[in-house]
Amino acid sequence: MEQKSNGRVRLSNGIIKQNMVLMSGLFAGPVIGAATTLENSLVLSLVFSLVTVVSVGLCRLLPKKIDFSVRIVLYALIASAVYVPVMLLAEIIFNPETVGSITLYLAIMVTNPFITAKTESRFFLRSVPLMFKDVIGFVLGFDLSCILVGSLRDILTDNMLWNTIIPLPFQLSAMESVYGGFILVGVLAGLCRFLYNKFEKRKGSR
Amino acid sequence: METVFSRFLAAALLGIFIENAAFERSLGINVLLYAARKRENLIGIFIGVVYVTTVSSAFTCLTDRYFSEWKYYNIMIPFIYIFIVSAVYLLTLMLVWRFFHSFFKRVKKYVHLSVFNCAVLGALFIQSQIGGTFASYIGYGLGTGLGFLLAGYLLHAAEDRLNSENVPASFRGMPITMIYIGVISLALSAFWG
Repeated sequence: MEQKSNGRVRLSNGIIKQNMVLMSGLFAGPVIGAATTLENSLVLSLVFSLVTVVSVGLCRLLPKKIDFSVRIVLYALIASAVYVPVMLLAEIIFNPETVGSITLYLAIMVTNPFITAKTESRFFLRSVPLMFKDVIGFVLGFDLSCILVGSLRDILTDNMLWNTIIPLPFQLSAMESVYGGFILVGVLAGLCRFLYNKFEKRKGSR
Repeated sequence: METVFSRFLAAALLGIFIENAAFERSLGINVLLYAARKRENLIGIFIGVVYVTTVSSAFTCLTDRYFSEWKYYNIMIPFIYIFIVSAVYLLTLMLVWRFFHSFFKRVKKYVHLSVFNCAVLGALFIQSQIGGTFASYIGYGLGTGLGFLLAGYLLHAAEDRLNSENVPASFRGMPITMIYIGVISLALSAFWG
């Protein structure tokens, strides 16, 4: 029973409380740079999820007696090897032109802080099942934020969501740019923190 | 010689201002947020970024020149570049450990942050897409590192104000920092056109 509630807490930690895009901003770069449409954000989410979960799982198999300076190199090499089949899969599922237009942001997934920092400081301190639960929580948090930002930018820029027209009386073409992404993520992060603090206060007073 | 230098300078200026890794490409934001907190972190991490992007650029120029015709080169770029960056990192670390042992102990805990981050890999990747001569590769590598230092300094300078009580509690810290970077990015975009 205790383990079950532990798992639930960990999932929500990664999704909400320690969300790496909207709460800590630790991996907001690709979302700001590439999640300009819903389709782009789905490509980002797929590549990020597969590269991170598989790489963290494989990195866990490395012996702990290897020095950290060498281990970190192996983590990055493993992630970049995992990236190859994941990209081939992404090109099958999505339009190759869409994948090609954001290759820069897909390539940098191999040095994301989940693999280069959180592995040592957090994930590998837990048992394997709890580690995966934790990783999946963080990955879901990233995916949801990415899809939210991508959808909002799609609607605000083109008044469309994928191929569905969303009739709005205005268009904000600046939302497609990097500075638009920074400002939108900043505003969303502030709102998320406001709502989270409000929710926590209400929970505390109850 | 003049042409080599002008190419080097043009690429460096491109990396510092027009294609600034943080403001124009949103690369390495996590390292930027971490480094901007303390002046010591800032200098140490950015020396690492400048060094790794510059030295690695010399090698990525060679791989781009000789393997770019290979069918799977584009998809293999992260693996090849990580291999190059890792070799530079390990060799440098061994040299520092051998000759500057106390310095090695001091930087060991955060040196990997300045090497394995999105800004370094992203800069090498962008240069590969732009192409150019050996001088422009080195220039762009150096420029990216210096551009990243500029971004870090601008963030560090505003750190106190961004965390002050004048900012609403929910926006204090990361949210207002993102908006601040967005405004600088907007200003740079307007300036360069």
